[in-house]
Amino acid sequence: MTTLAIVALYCLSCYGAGIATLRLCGAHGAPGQRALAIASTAFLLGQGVVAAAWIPLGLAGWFNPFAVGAVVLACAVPALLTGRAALLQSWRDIQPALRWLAGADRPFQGVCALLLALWMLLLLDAATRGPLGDAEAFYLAYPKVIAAAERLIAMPGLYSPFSQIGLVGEMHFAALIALDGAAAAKLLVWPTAMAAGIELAAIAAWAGAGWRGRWIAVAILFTSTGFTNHVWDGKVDVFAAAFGLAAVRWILAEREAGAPALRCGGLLAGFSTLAKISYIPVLLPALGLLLAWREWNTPAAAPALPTRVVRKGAALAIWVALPWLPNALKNGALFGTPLAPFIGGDGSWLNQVWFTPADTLWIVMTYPLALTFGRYPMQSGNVSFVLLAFLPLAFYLLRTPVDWRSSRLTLIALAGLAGLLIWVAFRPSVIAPRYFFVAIALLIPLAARAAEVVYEREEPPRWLRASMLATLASALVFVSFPLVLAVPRAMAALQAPDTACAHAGRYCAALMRLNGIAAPGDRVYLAGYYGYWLRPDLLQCQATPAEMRAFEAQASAAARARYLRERGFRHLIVDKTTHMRIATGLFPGKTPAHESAELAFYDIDPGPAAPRTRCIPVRAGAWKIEGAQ
Amino acid sequence: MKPGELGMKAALVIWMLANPTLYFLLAASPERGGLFGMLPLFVQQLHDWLIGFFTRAAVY
Repeated sequence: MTTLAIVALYCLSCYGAGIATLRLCGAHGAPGQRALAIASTAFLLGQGVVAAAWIPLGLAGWFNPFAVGAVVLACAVPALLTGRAALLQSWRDIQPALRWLAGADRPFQGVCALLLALWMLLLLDAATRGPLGDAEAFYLAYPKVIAAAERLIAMPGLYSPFSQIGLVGEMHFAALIALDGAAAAKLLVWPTAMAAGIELAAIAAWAGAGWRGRWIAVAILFTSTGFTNHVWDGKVDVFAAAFGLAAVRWILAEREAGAPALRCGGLLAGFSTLAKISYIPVLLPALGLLLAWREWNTPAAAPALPTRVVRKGAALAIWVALPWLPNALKNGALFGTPLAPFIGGDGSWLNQVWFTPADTLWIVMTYPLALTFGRYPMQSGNVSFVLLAFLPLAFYLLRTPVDWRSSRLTLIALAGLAGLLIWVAFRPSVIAPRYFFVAIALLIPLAARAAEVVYEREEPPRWLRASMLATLASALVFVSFPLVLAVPRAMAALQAPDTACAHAGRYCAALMRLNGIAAPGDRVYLAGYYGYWLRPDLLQCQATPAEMRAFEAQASAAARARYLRERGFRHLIVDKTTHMRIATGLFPGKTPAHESAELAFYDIDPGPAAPRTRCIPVRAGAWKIEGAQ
Repeated sequence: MKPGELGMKAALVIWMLANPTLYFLLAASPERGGLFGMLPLFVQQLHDWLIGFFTRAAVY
């Protein structure tokens, strides 16, 4: 309950910061904006602003629970003072949706009941499960280090260069770990996902969808495992998607709301690209297209259309760039390269190729199917098959004459398609929806509106309606099924939080065992990716990238073992699934101190000479590697 | 109802229902145990055949 209260207070704090930012942008009373959508945007915008505030606080070494708590309380005050009425109005905004649902046909009510159940299951899973996968490698491991050190430092170990990315979700995770723990950190993703749903529903409404269409749009979003998997696994992709959708909504409102909408949309787009760099080639062209299209449809004698588009585009670019300033400050302070990871940093991970040219060609040829049904390595979830199933229903919309130039549905779908095509052109082998989810989400309103029209206008026999209900219900059941299976484990984890490993990944138990053996400040060589469960001091005392390169460059196994002793390493952890070659012949005849199916760790006897490095405490919780590099 | 419209309706129904079916067959490998483990052998065989179209080994 304490965790829930802290997350609720943190959300209120983000909302307060967002309300203040909306006022600064002049967008608080923007015309045509419903209170619920304003509240959702305030929450998301405030998340961006609060995350930006953590950067200087962290660099100054003041990232302790008291300072973090004080900022959270300070940001919550405007929410309590001025945002309360808006929050109440937001609640009143939800009521029509619920009233409509109460009067809807029973089968559709059943589908929506399944959606509500899925939301609860996601909340339960987010509270009790994981972290898993990449979150164990970086996205929650790094916040754990920041919170323990009470300072923003580069991630120790293999992922040190990766710390050059924008930190939005990661800084929130660090703040919530400082205030409460990892469970609180992971829980913040759930309200962010709900905000993404509200933004998508608002975009669908702008495009002409009624209540049924909005419910269907949200159902498609939440049956996309490329989105929902990251609600509970401890990664940060949902933040980027939510910011991106909010940015789109404000750019769409630009003609009615004017410059404040442009500012707001620009800031949100900046936070979105900061949260996920891969959104730069996807979201920004889509926003440019939306802006240009809207200008094209605005009757104005002067200046000429290209001039207007360039002016507004330049203004938008400035607002998009603003959220990147704290990241430049961070990279300048930590790496001496303010423009990293684009210029001057180690941006090798920006140019990823996942498959051979032949396999990439196959993926491109089957792209919509690959996105929806693919089981490719690192894909990490699919796009909802409901989207693919419902898109052909758009032909029914053509039965009434369509003015393409002013069609809002066409505009939004084209923006999504443009983003998607750009991604396929530049990164064809990176077939992971999380990298460009906002582009896919922009295709949802078209499918949802088409489904709504067919559902409500179909003459008997209503085969299409029945098929739509079956498709929606099966998607919700398929996505919920693994979460339902996890309910007993989740309940056990809630009742006995000490048994965290029972509900976590396969690395937890082994690393917890090492935590019980290792002395404070022991140096650890982690030959693997997933270090989250290590104690914070061990995480900070792990091998640096330079040490890893030097270790791998040693000519023989004996030389590598000698190198580890010389550098003062006391433990070698080997992920047997990926790094077994490192341990081969390293300690002949020596039994690992622990061995499981995935991990083996070895205690390393100190050499006769004093080690060349040691890990020393610089203050409570913060450790530093001292010695020759 | 006109024959053309009936055909279009039937095609859309088949398309819509094919999607969850395909998803189920790809996800429902009996080797995953649990509920899927109770499925007959031909589901496994269908899964094994279909999965070849939807996965490749990574080089990253």
